[in-house]
Amino acid sequence: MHLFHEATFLLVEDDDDHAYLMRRAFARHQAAERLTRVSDGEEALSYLKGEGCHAGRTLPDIVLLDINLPKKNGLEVLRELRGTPGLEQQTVIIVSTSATEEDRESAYKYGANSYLVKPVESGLFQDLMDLLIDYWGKWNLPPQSS
Amino acid sequence: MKSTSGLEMRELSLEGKLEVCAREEIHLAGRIQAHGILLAMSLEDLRIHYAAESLSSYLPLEVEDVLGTLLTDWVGPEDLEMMHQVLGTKAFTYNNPLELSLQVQGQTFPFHGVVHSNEKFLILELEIDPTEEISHESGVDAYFRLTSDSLSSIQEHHQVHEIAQIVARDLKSYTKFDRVMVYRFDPDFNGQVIAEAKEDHLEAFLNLRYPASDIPPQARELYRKNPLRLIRSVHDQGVPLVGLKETALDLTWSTLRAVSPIHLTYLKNMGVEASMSISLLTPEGELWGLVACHHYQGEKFLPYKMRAACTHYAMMLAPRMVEREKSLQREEEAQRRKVLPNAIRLLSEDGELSEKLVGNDELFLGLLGGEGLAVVVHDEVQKTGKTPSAEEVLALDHLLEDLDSEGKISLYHSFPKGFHHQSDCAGCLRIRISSSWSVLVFRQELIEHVQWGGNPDDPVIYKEELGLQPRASFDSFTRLVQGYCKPWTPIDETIALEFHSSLAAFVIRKAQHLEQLNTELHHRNSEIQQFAYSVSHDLKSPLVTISGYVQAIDEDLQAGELHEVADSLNRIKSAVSRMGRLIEGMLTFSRIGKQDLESEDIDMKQLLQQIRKDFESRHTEQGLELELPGKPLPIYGIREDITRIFQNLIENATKYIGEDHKSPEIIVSCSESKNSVIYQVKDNGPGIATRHHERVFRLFERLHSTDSGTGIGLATVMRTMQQHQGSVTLQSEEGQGALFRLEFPKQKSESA
Repeated sequence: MHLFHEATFLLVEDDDDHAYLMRRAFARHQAAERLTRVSDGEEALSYLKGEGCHAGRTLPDIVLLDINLPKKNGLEVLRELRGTPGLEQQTVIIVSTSATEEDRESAYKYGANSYLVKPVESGLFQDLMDLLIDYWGKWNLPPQSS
Repeated sequence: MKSTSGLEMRELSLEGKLEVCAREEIHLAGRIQAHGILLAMSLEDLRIHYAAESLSSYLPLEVEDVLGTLLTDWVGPEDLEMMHQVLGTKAFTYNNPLELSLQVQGQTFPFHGVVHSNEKFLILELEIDPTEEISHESGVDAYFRLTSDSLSSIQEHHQVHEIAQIVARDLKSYTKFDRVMVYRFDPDFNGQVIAEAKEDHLEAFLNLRYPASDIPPQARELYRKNPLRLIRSVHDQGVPLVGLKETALDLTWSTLRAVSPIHLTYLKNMGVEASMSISLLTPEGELWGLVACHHYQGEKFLPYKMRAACTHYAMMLAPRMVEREKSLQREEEAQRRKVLPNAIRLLSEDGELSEKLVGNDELFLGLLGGEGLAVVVHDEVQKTGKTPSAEEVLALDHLLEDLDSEGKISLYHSFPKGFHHQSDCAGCLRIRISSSWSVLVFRQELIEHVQWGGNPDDPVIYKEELGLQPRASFDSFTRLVQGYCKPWTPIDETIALEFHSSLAAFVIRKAQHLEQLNTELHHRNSEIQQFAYSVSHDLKSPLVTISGYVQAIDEDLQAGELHEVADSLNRIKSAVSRMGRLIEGMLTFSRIGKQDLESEDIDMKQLLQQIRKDFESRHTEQGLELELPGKPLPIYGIREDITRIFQNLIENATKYIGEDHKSPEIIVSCSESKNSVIYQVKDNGPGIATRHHERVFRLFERLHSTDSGTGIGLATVMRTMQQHQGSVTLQSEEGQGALFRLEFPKQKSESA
């Protein structure tokens, strides 16, 4: 058994700038190639379920899920995921600008594994990304080796 | 009368004793007064079946001599013919009496004959005028003598008691009885003397009341059928009728019928020697009142013609009193009804109900006939005028709700037991809208000294030696009546019912309005929550971007990698302007319907031309075509709002139509229906899938991640359309373009 696990990520993020900044953080950890991005809720589900053009995709270890998304929001995606056979155990980390109680409560209720708020304070966004990539992308072990 | 032993009688309660009185079958008494002869013949063969024992006093015959014989044995053919003629008409009183004579043993005996019949028998009553004053005046003359005076005396404006006074005066002077009184019965048949004409030395009975038991129900029934009763002398015990069989003869229509011994004692106790009563009937034949004539100086007889005149006089005057009473009630009702439209108008206007009722107390109290008024809404008491305290009113309302939780209105002449208060009020009218909504109208206590002709609690007494007796004392008996208000009348009831319906309509309207406000408030609340959410998310999002790029630039600068800095700066700029747009959009949205702008008929041609100008200055390079209607129909609304609606829809179309479209176009068209003006904004862009149609109008919703929009534009359109009492709908399918349909009402909108 390996001490480290090089986890793969699916980023569900509609904001191009946020996606760029996150990819930049992954790149600094030489992990950019382990990050795939989709930009709305419907596409995220179709990717995870391997539907349409996403047939044959590799299931990511970790989903980084925004809440405020076009077409289907992150919470809807999460709930649907938990009801989909094979995806009930999928590790999902909410990464949102929203810090509201309602969103946090719903997220955990639907089975989010973690909830992170994108920080507004200067400098903290990169720091959070560093921690995320280090902990979830390296130290955290997934349910089963894939 | 059915026999009831003395022992039983002694143990009877007052009600029981009255019951015994009420059972007496007075029309089957089997006796007549002694001043005449009664013969009853079978209708088939005129055989005499009944004869009164008084026969032997006036004729040289005994009862046994005539019983079983035929009338034709005693009466000549001319007299028989006269009797047949009377029976052929319905109007016995007009055609009676007949000047008849009986042939007995070759002698002729003249009488005043009164003839009538029942189902089986022809009844012939032969009166002997004991005063010997046989009047030669005809019945018609007697009638005119009596009525001519009254007809000229009664005026249009006379009150009921004034007409009654004329009646008493006329009958007194015509009949020469010592006292003539006019009684008016209340709904319970208690009588009150409303007019009186009397000899000066007699004590006045005017205004005295007599309990209903003084005239038991079967006596009232006889009064209804046979309107005049003369008791020549209270000392006349009457003579029995002897019949071929033992069955009693029905004497309902008899003029000689003897009165019940109880009634005779009753009269004797009052010192009356002779009496006459005349019924006052309503046009419907109900007993309205009674004329009672008393004579104190020995017996008193009135010839049949005069009695008939009295009967007709009463038949003519009673309806006038009844009508006058009704018309006075109608006048009062009309007077009060005058303010009803005013009251309803007040109620139908906007405003706090309790304030209206209290602020117009004179109007409402006049309408409802009270001295104080209280409104109880959800246990909150608002009051005006003379009422108990707020706490007392509330307690009373709860008590009355328990007593009547169904009816629309309830009337109380006195307060129910268990209600304690410190006020001068004694009764109320409750108008009940619901269990938590009522109006109480209060009346002050009316302390009255009611005079009864004798103790009303003891109308009948039992004496060992005499049996059942009417009361002996007629000394006027004054009773202080307390704890009652002026009685509520049928008019009060009618008006209260009408008031109830207006009030109920008002309350329902109010409830609907509240419900609407509640819905709006709820809607607003969820909008505020959406706003709060957007501040936490949509506004924060560009800030995350900005701070993220600032840090990236920092790192790049430290690392000396400058090639991405310019790009990062551009990103920051666009995030800043996005934030600006968001803030602007939110402000616009929050202001919809809040600015004090006037609606007007908008010249749409001019408005759309201006939009095209703005559009062309921004979108020329895109090769976008904007087509406008040739003759745009005017819209009634706020110019700024309508402009924004079209700007937003056209911008929206522009945004999603796609830059790589070969021939992008936006078409604005208009049409009208009966009640609305319809505008359509159509593009040939990618369209919107049906499942997203509802989402697009939601605040801060976006369908595309690459979206430069704020998610406010279409929400603003929808909100503005709602403000204009119109609507916006989306017709689109994926790949088929999108069509937004705006429907504006034609009539001038109220709240726009």
